[in-house]
Parts: sequence; structure tokens; C-alpha cells
Amino acid sequence: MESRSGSVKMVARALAALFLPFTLCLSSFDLSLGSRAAEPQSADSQIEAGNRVYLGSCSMTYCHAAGGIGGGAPKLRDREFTAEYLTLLITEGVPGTGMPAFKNSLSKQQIEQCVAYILSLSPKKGAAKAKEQSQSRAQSEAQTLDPHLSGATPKTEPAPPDAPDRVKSEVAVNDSFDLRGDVEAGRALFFDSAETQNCRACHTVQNRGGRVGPDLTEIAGKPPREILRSIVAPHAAIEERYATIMITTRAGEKFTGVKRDENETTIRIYDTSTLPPVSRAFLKSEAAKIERLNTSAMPADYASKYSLKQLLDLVSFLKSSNVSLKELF
Amino acid sequence: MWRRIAAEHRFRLRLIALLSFILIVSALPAYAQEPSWERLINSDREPQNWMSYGGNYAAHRFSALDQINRDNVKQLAPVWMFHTGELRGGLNSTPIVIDGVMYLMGPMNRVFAINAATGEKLWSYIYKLPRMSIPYQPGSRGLAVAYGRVYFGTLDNHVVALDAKTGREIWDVEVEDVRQCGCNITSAPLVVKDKVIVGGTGGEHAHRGYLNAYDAKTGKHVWRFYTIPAPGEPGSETWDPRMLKFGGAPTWLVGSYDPELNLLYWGVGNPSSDFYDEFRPGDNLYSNSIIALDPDTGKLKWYYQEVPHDMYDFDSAYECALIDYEKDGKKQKLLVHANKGGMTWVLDRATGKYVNAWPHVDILTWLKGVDKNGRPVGMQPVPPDKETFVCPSAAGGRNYDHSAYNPKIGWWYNIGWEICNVIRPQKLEIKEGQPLFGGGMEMKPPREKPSYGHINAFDPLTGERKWRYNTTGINVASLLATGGDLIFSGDVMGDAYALDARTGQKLWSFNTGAGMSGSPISYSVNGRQYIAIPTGMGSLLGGLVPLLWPESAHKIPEEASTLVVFTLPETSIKGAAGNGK
Repeated sequence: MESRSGSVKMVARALAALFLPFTLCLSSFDLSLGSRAAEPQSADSQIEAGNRVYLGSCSMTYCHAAGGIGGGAPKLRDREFTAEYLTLLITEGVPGTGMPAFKNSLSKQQIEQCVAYILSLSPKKGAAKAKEQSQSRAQSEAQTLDPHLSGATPKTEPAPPDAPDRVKSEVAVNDSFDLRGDVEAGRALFFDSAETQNCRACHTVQNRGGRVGPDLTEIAGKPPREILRSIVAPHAAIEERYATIMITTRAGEKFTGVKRDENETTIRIYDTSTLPPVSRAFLKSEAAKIERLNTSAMPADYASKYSLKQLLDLVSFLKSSNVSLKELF
Repeated sequence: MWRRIAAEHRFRLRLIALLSFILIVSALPAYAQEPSWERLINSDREPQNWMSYGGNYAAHRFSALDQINRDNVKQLAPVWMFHTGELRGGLNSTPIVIDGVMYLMGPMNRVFAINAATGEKLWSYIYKLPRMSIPYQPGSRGLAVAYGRVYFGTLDNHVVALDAKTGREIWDVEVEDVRQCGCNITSAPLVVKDKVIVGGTGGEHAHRGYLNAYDAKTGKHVWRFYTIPAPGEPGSETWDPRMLKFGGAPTWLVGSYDPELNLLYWGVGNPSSDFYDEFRPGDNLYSNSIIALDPDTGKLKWYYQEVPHDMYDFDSAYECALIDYEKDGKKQKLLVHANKGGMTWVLDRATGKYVNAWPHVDILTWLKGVDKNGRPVGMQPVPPDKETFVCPSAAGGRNYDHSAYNPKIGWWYNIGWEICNVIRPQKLEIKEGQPLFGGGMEMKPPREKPSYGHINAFDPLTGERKWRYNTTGINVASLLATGGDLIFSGDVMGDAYALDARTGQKLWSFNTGAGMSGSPISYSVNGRQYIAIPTGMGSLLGGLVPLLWPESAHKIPEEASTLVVFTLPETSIKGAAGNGK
């Protein structure tokens, strides 16, 4: 029982990684252009240069360790990475983890070199795929720029750094592991009044719940996988109405959240920096700057906060049918 | 030459000092504005103000002002009135007055700032309630003012902060979707240090009661104390596990605070369902209890349950009067608490230990007495699907019409209603947020006599009655005690009145033309003492009058929502400063 519960948690964590690419898709456009503009180098010199970058930035034992064998952070060798995926990850970092964004400390060329080195650590998998994918780069870019397209075609999406293989082996190796969500358990979780930081603090389903985020009543028509992705990787697709905005007051205070409404003199936002969200009203004359951010106001930690079973329950509740784990892949 | 340089130097220094002052003052956040916590917690030093719901943090509802007193109260006359513009909900609230500005919560969450001397409206804030059916009542009992902000809870279960100078909204946070919990906020918050502490309704719904604390500056949720323990927590064994999420126990009135003990006291209401009790065998903690919490953390320090396993809707939600009692050289820090069931419990407020219990109404059928720990004995059974005659009624031996305490005299003034009811419990389906009354009740007069009501002066420890004043019907307005040895209130037929606090004799009355169910206050501006009395019933309790006194039904005043403010004629107060500033 205990080991099963442990594996379920592992799988849940893996899901975070599985959907992470979509979090970063929105900002991938300039990266692709950058790497395309770099001077061509031979494959070996590219890898060698990448090794130097890697040694200086990634190889500490509490990170990915020498040779990508893994330390405090996931191992990087013998994995199924794509160049695009690694580029995004290195450039933007992974919010909520120890993985920093290197876009300000490494040049685009250095990142490309580093990616080449990491791919070389997986000669049977990643390197071959890298070659294959470099030939269809244009196509991949189109896919990564469209999160819906990427999400709907799991076979073509890049593999994450941690555990997608583990997820798949859980499912493939053990056919009896037929985890299924429960609509009522999902409803209880969604509306649990003892928890101030759950879904209903922001979302409505069937006229109950908060008004900060989208009404999820209509989400039932979407595929389970897409619903799950919107829970664990909310940054992937943001409806304009619910885009995060940041208000910087003349006193220098910064507030982020979702716009509630505005009139000639006042703007109100739902401050989502803590939950339950707090509606704050600002005089426009008090605001030095109001800007739109390319992130979702929704917390990005639900994959680690909820177990896989709970995530399945939530998806089941939103679908109004008991969804099985297999439907997510 | 040197003199000129010195003069320039002095000028520069003064300029720097002035600029520094302007810089410091302008840099102070709105949060640092008045009244400060220091002022709030020492409100007894400022009798010209009425700074919190209970008049002070001990819920005394006492103003030390004595310009209006037993000798001159007959001259009291209205000086201004204020209409809230909304009749639904009457005017149930307690106004707040700070430094000459009155803050008034009207029905349907209409908030006003008013010049307390003239009645001139300074600003208004009309909260936008969604189109929905409002649980409980459309009236509200008040607001809190601190740190330059006005705080209140809403009928759709939000907590809101306004700028006290302008009425501009600063923050607004939803406690829980009212459609989900069937609960909302009808009473004032209590500000304790940097937190706004807010109770809520929900005792007649399938809801798990709680008390919430928010950061006064940011609106961030800080802590929640559930009045029903979670599974496995101490006290959860006093419930059927299935009811732990739906057992009611709301916190629908306002608590008290003792700064020396750093304890927050709050009364907890009845368990759901009110009458049908087979869902919930056991004592049902912390329903019908006084809870003492650490206001900084929301952790429970002690509790005392007055009515274990309530079957009559006998809330313990009413005010906790904190009284320092001294007799024969012995000092006691007491908590005096009127329960809805017509009994007053007296506790040691440091420990929660039982001290005494005594009835404040004449007719009680639901218990035979209390044991050495104050626990009721011989509780009257209320079997399902049968009619049981119980006194007092589910409307209470009194309701939210608060008591008052005069520390000069040492007496506690409390209201009593002699009304009974027939309870018929019925099983019903439990669904989160849906009504869970569990049967019905019908109001009845006591056996062999008509219903009646009264106001009494008591020794707060022993319950020894000092005097009684028989009211017109039931008195639904709170009591106000003043340093002029007066008790002010208002009745359901429209008379505002003053009693002699030492004898109970009626000394003054004025027909306002509307029944009263709010809370009178006293304050002074520019050396002139005022008495402000809300008029307009609004409360569900107003409906009891034609039921119990049908002969008076045709005389019942029309609905209103008006604050009527009284003072002495200018000629009679010249040279009299009273305690006001």
C-alpha cells in the first residue's frame, strides 16, 4: 500500500515535468531565431564547447553532476531530450525548482553548445533524435508555439527531464495499475472549504466558487489530458481575460494578479500572490506602471501539491466522468 | 556678518527640519493612520469617542460621559437624523464615532461617514451585492474602524476595507462562496492588533463554522479557527464523524479581547441541525461554547461549553462581557455571558473555569439546574416528529440585543424575553450549504400567562437582581449604560427611552415613529454629549410582535432605517464640559 502510494506521488511529480514544456512555449519564439542565427560549428567542437559551459554552470554535485550522472538535480544522461526542450529549459529555468534561468548569464550560442553536450550524453537516444529533429526544426517550432497543438499530439512532444519514462513504465509494465479518478472525490477536493488554497477560491463550476479565474463549467468538453495540463502547467495557455498584470505604484510597491474591472479613475485586480485572492483597488493616478505579464496567475505547484489520484479526481470532476490514468497519455 | 550666517544656518536647519517632517509624514502609509491600536485598546480614556462595536474591547457598552444625566435627561431632544435610504433590513447596527466622525453601517451593506455633530454626510459606499437570495437577514450589525480604515463583512460573505477619509475601497476578500456554505457576515469585525477578526453565520445550514483573521493592511488571510474540530482532533469524538463538515456552530456576533491575558473571546452558536439531533449524538464541541483563542495564531487556549448537545437553538454567540469584579477585597477577572437559553454563565476568563450560572429570565423548562461544573442537568428531551413545549423559545431569553455594564455602579444590565415555543424536530436531507433547521417551531406565550419582556440590573457574579423594568413587548434594541447613571434603549413600538440606572425608573422617552433593533451609543463633539439611537426593525425578530401580541398588531410602526441623534438644548449645557472634549 505504502509503495503504491509512493509510486503514485512519483508519477504525480513526473506529470509536472511532463507538462513543463508547455509552460515555456510562449516565450520560445526569440530563442529559436537566436539559435538559427548562430555561426555553424562542427558537431564535435560544439560538444566540446558545450562541455566547458556545462562544467561551469551545471556540473556541481548538488545539481546535475559531472557527466550528467545526476546529483541533487535529475540525471541528464541516457535520456530522451530534444534540443528545443533543453534550450527552453536552460534559457527560462523551471519555476518552483532549483533550476535557474540562464538567459542572462549564458549567450544563446553557449546555451546551444551546452545543449549539444547534454544530448551527446545520450548517444543512443537523444543524439539520434537531435539529428532527426534538427531536420524538422521548422515543424517543431510551429508546434511549440502552439500549446494546444503540442498538447494534443503527445507523440511529437519533447520528453521532460524527469520521469516521463518512469510514468510510462508505470503504466506499461504494470497493466494492473489502472488508476481511475472519482467524480465525487474531485468535487470534494475542488470545493473543500477546509482548504483556503484550492480550486474554488478562484474558479466557478456550476455557479459555485470564485470569480477570479475562468468558469470551468464548460471545460468538460475538453480532452482529459488538456484539462490536466491546464492544472499542472497553467502558464501554457492563458486566456487574455485572465492574463496576469502587474501594477507598480508610485510608492514603488508591486502587485500582481488578474484584472477584476476598471473605470475612469480606478482599476481593481485580484491579487493572487496569496490565496484566497484579495481584490485590491488602485487609483489610476497612484499607479506608475500597469503591465501585462506572460505568466498565469494560477499557482504552478499543483502537480506537487496534489497526488496523481487527486489530480485524476479533479479531472474526473471537471469531465463529469471517472477518467483513467491511461486517458492521460 | 556672523549673525547673518547664523541666521541663514538656522533658516536652513528649520527648512531641513520642515522638509524632513513633510517627508516622514508623507511616507507614512495609510495603515499608520488613526485610530491606533494603542487608542483602540485604551478607548476608556476617550469617552468622547465610541471606537468599537462593544464600546470597548470588554463589551461593556458603557460611555463615561455624564453631561446627560438623571437630572436633565428629560430635556433630551432630537438634533439630527440620518436615513440610510434602504428599508430592507432596518437599522440593526452600532455606529462608531471617532474624533467627530461617525461611521454607520446601514442595511444591505451601505456604509456612511457622517459629521457626528451635524448629521452631514461626508461619504457613502454602497457595496454591490450580487443578485442572489441573502441567507439570514438583509441587515448588518456594524463595522470596525482602525488605522485609517473602515472594515466590514458583507451579506455575500466578503470582508472589505475602505479608506476612512474618503470611503474608497482598498481591499475586498471573499471568505467562502455564500452559495456553497449558506453562510455570510451580518456582524462587525473586531480589530485585534494587526488583524481583522470576522465571525459568520451558518448555524441553520449544513456548514462547518469558523472564525477568520485577515491582515488589516493587506487583506491576506492569516488564520482560521474551525468551531468544529477536524477528524482526529480533540473534540471530534463529540460528533458523528459524518457531521464534522456540516455541524454549524457559527460565530455570528462579535467577540471581546483582554489585552493583559492576550486572549480573544468569542461566543459560538448552535449546532446544525437545530432541532433534529439524531444526526449528531454527543456534546458537539465547540457549539454553544465560549472559546478563548490566541489572537496572534488563532490557537485555542480554553473553551467552556454552556449547552452540550443543544436541541433548542440556544446559541452562545452573544457578547462576552469582561468584568473585573471586586468584593470583600477579592478581585476576580470574570467573563459574564448571557446564553440564548435564558441562563447567564460566569467564568474565570483567565482559565475558562466555571464560577457561577443563574437565570436571567423567569421561565425555563429546558433544564432543571446545573451541576458543580455548570453543566446543565435534567435537559428536556425533544423527540423527533413530536411537539415539545420549551421555554424560552428558539428566539431566545433575549437575542443579539446586547447587555451593558456600568463599572461605576458595578451592575450588569440585561434584557429578558418570556416567550416559549413548540418544537417539532424532523429529519431532513443534509446537503452542504443548504438549510438544516431540522424541523420547525411555533412561538407561544408561557403556560397560563401572556408573553412579556423586561430589563434587569444584576450583580454580575451572583445574579442578584437589583431592579426590573417591564418593557413594551420584547426589547430588541441593545442597552447603553452611561456615566450619567442612565440606561438607554428603544422598543418595538417606536419609543426611545432612558431608565435610571440605579432604580430602573423610566425618566425620558421620545416616539421616533419606528421600532428599534439596533444599538444606541453615546459620544461627544466640542463638549456636547449626544445619544444616537438606530430606528427600523429589519430583524426577523420584529415579526414576533404581532404573533405574540396580536392586539397590538395594528399599532406596529412602519419600517424605517434612520439614525436619530439626541442632545440637550444648548442653553442647558453651557459651561458643562462633562467628560467630553
